[in-house]
Amino acid sequence: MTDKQPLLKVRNLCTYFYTDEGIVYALDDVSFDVARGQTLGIVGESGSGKSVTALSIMRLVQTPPGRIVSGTVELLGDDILKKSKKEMKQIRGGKIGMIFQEPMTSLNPVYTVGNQIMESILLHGDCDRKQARERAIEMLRLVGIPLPEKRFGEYPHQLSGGMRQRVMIAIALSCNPQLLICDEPTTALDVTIQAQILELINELKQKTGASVIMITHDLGVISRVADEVLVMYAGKAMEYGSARDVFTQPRHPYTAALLKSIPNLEDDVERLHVIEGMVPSLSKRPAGCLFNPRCKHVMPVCREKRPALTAGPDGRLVRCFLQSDAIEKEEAHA
Amino acid sequence: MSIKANANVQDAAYTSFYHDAFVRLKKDKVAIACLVFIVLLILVAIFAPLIAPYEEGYQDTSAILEGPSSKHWLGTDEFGRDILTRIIYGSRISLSVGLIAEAIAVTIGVFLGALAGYYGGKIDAVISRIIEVFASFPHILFAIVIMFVLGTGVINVFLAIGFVGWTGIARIIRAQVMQLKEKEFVEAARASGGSDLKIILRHLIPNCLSTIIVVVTMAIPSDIMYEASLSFLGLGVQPPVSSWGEMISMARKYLRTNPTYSVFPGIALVLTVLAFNLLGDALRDALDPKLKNL
Amino acid sequence: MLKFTLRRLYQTVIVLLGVTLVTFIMVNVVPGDPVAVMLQKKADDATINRIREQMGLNDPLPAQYFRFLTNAVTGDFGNSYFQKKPVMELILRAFSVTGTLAVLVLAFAIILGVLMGTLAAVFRGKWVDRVIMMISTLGMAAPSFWLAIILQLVFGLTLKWLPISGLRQPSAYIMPSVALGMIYAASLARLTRTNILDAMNQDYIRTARSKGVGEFFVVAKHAFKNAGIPILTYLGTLIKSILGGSVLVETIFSINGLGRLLVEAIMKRDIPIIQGCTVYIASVFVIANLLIDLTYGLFDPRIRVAGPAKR
Repeated sequence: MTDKQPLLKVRNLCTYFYTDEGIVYALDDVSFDVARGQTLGIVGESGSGKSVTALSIMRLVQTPPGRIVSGTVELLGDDILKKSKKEMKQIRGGKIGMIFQEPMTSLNPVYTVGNQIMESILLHGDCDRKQARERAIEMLRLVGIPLPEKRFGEYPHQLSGGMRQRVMIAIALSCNPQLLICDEPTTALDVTIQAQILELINELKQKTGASVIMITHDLGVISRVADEVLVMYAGKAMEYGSARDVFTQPRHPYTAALLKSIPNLEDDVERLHVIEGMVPSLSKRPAGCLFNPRCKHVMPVCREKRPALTAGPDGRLVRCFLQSDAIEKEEAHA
Repeated sequence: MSIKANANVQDAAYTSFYHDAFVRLKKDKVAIACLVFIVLLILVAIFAPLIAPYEEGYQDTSAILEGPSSKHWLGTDEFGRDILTRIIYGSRISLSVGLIAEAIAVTIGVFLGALAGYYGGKIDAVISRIIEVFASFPHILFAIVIMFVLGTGVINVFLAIGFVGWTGIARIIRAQVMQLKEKEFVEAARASGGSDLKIILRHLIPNCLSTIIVVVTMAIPSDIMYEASLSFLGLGVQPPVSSWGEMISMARKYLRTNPTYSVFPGIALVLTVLAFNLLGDALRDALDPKLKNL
Repeated sequence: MLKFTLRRLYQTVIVLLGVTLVTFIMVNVVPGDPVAVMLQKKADDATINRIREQMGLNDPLPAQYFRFLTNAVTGDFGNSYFQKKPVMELILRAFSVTGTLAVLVLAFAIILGVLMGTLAAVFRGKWVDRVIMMISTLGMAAPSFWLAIILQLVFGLTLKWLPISGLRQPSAYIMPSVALGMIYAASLARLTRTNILDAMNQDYIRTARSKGVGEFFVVAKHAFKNAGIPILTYLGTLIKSILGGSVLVETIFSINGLGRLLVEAIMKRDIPIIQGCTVYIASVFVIANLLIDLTYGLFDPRIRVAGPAKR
């Protein structure tokens, strides 16, 4: 972590969903930084709160039932959560671009690709339609779409999944955002296309100098692109540090288990390692450490107390009693 | 898997499906209220002679076209007949139209829809065109022409409305059977030599049952309205038989002398249609949310 | 698209043929001799037979149908038994009235229904939504002929704001349009609400918001055009129902439209008019439906290329 001011500084972010079955702690006291020009990977199983993190930063959490309860999201020192609706519209798509998981359904089927890119450009830049059109075609070319002039007038259903994701990237980057949030951008694509899209994101990051938040359940993706990694489990940060360190020396049993579950072509393992059990229901969380029902190293204390996220000597943050005895403070909502 | 075992699995799936739907429905207070209203209405229709304050044809010549009073709660018509009594007897017509006409419509619709969906190809093309032809006439207009052909009368009203209403359900069943016939349990039944008729009757139609229930519940209020419209035009149920539509039609002539005469049968009609509409919505949400655009 | 258009045209012709056939069969199975009806039993058997021969009623039915069909294609539905005028002339005169009314009803239903439905969807769960849904639920249960009478009672007889019947002044169109349009406005409101809510749950709405599109344009641009497709589909049925429903309001408001022409023809057993009106109204619907199917492409580009999925 650099001592320069980070681009994005998220502190103690809590987003809860108030449902009939009770409060769902989708995001519980999460903090992280994204440095300029760097990529933060957020990893976890489904239901770990990764996507809610992205939506909270964009303030696109569906309200009701969801609500950002507390915390700050500072973009260059400016708290996004305090912005007015109008200012927020300028930030979305302007300073922060976002790509979603489903390229098949994330584009509006009844408007042309060009129309959808231009829409963003016209909203954020002061230019006329002709300039916007040129910019849109330039963006299509930039994301590696062949025959951009022709594709400009086509509809999403005429494009393949990979092409649509490229269009999404073109939309997200069309206004030169400082931050690009990618929510599982490659999950729905097949393997070769996945690699191409990741390469494209990396390449464009270099070109534009934007920072990236890469959200995925796939550690393989993270290892390719991330500088830092935040491992999330059941709405909480479990481990947070530089990507290389976390991958080579995972300290949290959950991270270790995740790493083991990556299929490895070099080892000739008979079967995949699977983390047994399921992510706990976020409205009925277990007592103690949230991971304790599935943890192989579980100790009596894990079933009673919540471990705190504590920093090791190298600055890596881990939430585990194997690392530190620190207990989490009583939560505000309890 | 043997067909029998397969069928049992299917049965178990049905039971739990209908159970779940019932649980969902029970939570819906509006639906329960509508159901209670409809049950009460059915009881009123059955026990009309016991409930109605007067005999159906009784004419109180001392009270002609009077507004509501303690003697005649909802007033009297041009012959001095008690309006409440006639409304109570009129529910018999409305409910039996809902029942009998819809039974006719469902029989034709399910039969043709299932044939088209199951066989596909030429048979489907022919049946689909037939459906389109009959769906090209506005319902009420078609019913009027059928009434012209058959002549007026209660039974003919049932026939006309039943014969008008089958196209919608035929389309839905056709589409559903088309999807269902690709399913494993149908393949299994076919593989073990079940005849087409048996497959349609034993496997496909029971699987469409939830859709049929929803479509029928949603069609009943339209049927009730068509009956009222026909009788209103003088082409449906003929006096002295009481029908809400016929009452409204008569009341129209006396808007100045007894305005409430036209209001009460209309309210009976609106409440009945409303109850069936709301129940239909609730059943659809519980059984077959796909039909949301119905 | 060309292939789709041709297929739809072909289907339309088949359906129109079916419509004429069904109508012809229906009016020809009616018991009773039309000539006897026409002459009101004043003529002897020999005269009746002579006229039957003249009118071609003694020909075999297939020949009669063929003649009816070939004439119908040229817009000739024969002459009315009683008014002694070409049926087509009567129909066209009546249709100019019914057509105007239908356009007004359609406009009323679409504007009110789509607006209310959109509002309800935008304010989902709020009081606006509840009130709109309550009114539309009631509106769907109120038969047009009863609503018409209530309107006459309130705005005609009691308040004396609007004329009770006829179409002598423009304001006379208000009550018939509202009476007939209410039920369709109500069902359109529900349909619009459902489909906008459906569209609002789609991923592309989230994309639009993430681009910084304001909530107004999220609904007006992104959700609305997608929700428009089922609404467009419903429009065909709507036109058909309005033409049918006009029978009732025309009777109530003494409007000399197509519906009233038909009902009166039925009362008098004027077969050429019954036959002509039925075929004409069904054809209007069939052709309107064809046009709607061909305009889908404007809303849904996926169809523009491939043609709509068979409904």
